[in-house]
Amino acid sequence: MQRQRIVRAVLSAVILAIVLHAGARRTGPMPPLGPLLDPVNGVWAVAAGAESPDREAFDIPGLAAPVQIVFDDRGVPHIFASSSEDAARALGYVVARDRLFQMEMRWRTAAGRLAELAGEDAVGFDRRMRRLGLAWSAERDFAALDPASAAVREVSAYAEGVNAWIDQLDRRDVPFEFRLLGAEPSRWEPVFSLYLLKLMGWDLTYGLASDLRRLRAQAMVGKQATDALAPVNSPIQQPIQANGQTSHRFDISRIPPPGRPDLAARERVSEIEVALGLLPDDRAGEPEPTVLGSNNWAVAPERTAAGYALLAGDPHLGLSLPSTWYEAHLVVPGVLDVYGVTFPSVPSIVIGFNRDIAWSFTNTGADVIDYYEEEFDDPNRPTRYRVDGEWRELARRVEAYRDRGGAVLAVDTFLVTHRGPVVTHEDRPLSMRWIVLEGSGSTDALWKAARAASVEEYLAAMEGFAAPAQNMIVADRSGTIAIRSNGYFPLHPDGLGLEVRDGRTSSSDWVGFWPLSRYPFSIDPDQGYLASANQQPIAPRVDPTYLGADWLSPWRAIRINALLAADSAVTPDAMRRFQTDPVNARAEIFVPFFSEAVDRLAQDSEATDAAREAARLLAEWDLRYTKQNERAVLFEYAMNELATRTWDELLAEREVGPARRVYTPASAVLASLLHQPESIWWDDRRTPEVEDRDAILIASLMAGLERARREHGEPNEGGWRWAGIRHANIYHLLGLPSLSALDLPVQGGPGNLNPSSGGGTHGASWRMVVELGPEVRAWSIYPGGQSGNPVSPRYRDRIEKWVTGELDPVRFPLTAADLDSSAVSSVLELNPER
Amino acid sequence: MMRFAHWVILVLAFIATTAWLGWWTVPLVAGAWGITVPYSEKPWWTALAAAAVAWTILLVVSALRGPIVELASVLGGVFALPGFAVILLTLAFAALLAWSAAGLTSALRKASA
Repeated sequence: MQRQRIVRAVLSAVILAIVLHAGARRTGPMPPLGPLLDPVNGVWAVAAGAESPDREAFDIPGLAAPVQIVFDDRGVPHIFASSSEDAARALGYVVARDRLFQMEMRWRTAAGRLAELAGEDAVGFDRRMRRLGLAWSAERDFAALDPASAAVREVSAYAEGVNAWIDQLDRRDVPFEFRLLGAEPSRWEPVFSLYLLKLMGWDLTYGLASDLRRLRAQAMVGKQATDALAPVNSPIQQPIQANGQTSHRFDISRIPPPGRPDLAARERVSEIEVALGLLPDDRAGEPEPTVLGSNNWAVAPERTAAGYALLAGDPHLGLSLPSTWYEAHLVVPGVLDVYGVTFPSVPSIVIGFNRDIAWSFTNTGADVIDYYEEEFDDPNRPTRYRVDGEWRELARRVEAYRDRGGAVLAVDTFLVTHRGPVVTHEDRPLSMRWIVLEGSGSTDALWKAARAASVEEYLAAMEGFAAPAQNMIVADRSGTIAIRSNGYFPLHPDGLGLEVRDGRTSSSDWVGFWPLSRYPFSIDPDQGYLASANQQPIAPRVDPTYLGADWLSPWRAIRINALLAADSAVTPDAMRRFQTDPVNARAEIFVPFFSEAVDRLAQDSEATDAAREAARLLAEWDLRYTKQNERAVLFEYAMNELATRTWDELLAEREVGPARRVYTPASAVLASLLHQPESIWWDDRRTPEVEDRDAILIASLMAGLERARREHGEPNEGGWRWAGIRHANIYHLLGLPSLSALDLPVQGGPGNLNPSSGGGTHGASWRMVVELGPEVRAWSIYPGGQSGNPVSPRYRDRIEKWVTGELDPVRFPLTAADLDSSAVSSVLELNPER
Repeated sequence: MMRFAHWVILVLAFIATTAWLGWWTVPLVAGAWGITVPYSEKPWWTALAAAAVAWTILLVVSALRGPIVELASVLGGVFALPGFAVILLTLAFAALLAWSAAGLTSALRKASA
């Protein structure tokens, strides 16, 4: 018996120790199980927060007067406050209530402080972000702002609102993801709002990647060929600034043959990639990445059915759950009445409308970044750098990386020249000047824009918006429509921004910025509509000044302009349909070349049965990417083959695995090459024959057919349906599949107005149509839902409509009483704390 | 009958302390139970059952306030388990804490007696 008791005591002690350890301490990636599984205070409590009570009231500090927040049946808060600061405070409160973890992730990503949340594995990412200096520059910007300015007061009030929510946070209200990570929410600092704007600048600045891509191409085929494959001006012109053309224009120039590999460029790429992280290869067998992007357009009253101006916007970004955007309505009687979407972290409506105007953005993609090769006094322990023969002191930032518990994991010293951060200094130091790191003015501009009452006032408000540069479309109730590519555009000393510059001379520095009067701009054009889709903003024949070189393919611009030109009585519903229009301008250009190549071969009786069959199947295609379409896949696979075979010179062999595609020229470049049928670029060097254009077109078409058959079966058996081939994949911020919405069939392919490509992780992050009549009406959707709680009915309630291209009518009440009770889901009252 | 009443009190104690203080009270309450109840009555089994029942009740109460089943499914997805397994894991966690704590204190009490 005694022995049995001893055994029992030992066994119990061992099991208790194990279970207590698992309960209290992290085990590998698993958080402590105790706080996680606790049925009252643990993760199970998240279920109780899935839906808000019908009516709640809280006292929060800082409020000057009570604020009423009415959540409508789509979960949108209509915030009725008596001052702008109170509105911002209330917005911070409700956004934190719905999206606290997302906010935490965002600021930590920008600041390079993810390791404090996710552990040591995140230090590599943190290091790269801190080297870029997003948080450092945001803090500098914030310190330079006038603390008494309205924008700063609003940012501060927003932070107070967020913290008021955090301070009231019951353990039961801690978001799901914090529990999984075993972490607690941080206090919100006002400067975090600026972090987010910098993060968007990073996301939307192609310069970081595109300069490297260009350099990688140069490493393989030399500079002259690279300049032609990655031209400064788009080979197909349909610019944003209306130029009187009713359709696109080819500006074709001969593409010289591939040159010798550039070893210096190869070395430089390697150095930069070590510092900033490996640039992913383009995926062989996938379209080039420039077919994705945002759209916006506006139609003047004379071309709309109702005689009121219409505006549509659908910014395309990386998709995530919770969604990038949060929808809200802010009302301060007599001061502010604005509706739209905000980034959780930002106290302003970023895209939306008020009682007088509506606006939306697409990314300009201007070249706002340059690299400089610097000379240091001591390569190992640099303290100074040389400019014009004189030594200047290097500024230093010493930054520590900490783990979850606050222990220091690593310390870095970052160097800064007068141009910006030094991004690599092992062998050849390289500094970077990037407009995003300089004072942005964006906070103040967004604050003013929400209060604008006309197109003129809106444009004046946005003058100070520096980065990320946007194509800002705006329309007002008087019927005026306008668009301006808006941001600070540097003037480069040599008129180009493609090379790594010599940092030893100040003559390499930017020589100024574009004056506002020269920004690409159109107002009330004769054509009666305006549109942008990330294409080159201004025709080089109108203004040849270098603005950038990374213009996205013009297919979406061509298509939306064609739709708008063809419809002289546009309705809001037509605007909605255009946003997911299935017709593809890229296909309209390429398909005839495939067909004619086979026809020409058939005339010589050389066409094989396979080529004839492929051509016949392609001829059956209506050039549409509807979900039921069974021929789009053949075209896509043929196009991928065409790119692989034509640009084989840009494939780098590897010792193991398939060749890397280091650069994919835009499909617009490929389209211009179609007009050079004998170009040596058509030859696929991997085959013994020397192919011309037609031979490669036919071979690509046949290979596309073979791949479609291999992967999806026979053409008419259902396996070729587009819905089964191309999907949108909306991942949760932590990449957890059970919290994601995956394999969503979508209408649209590469280059469509609703483009889809690759992994399906990019797409329309927000769709909006606004009619600016006597009473402003609007419709909207985004892929996700207002709540960040994964078991809330509002976590992903909008996805189904988003997939089908539907929009919800927006409720835009003047007062809280104007909302019908059936349209109210809950009411929250915030009162000043006594 | 008295034994059952004591056991119900134990269940209530688990419920109250977990709700007010947290999961870590489970081994404390169970340990106290192990000291109080004679070794011959095998208090570890009654503690195990009481903890499991208490946490089941707490989960049922949570289910009345929100979609516990959906949450279990989401959690199961995170841990690559079926949803019901996460619920079982939760109950097993409490049961093991209670069983081992009561077993330990009971054995120690007997040894020191």
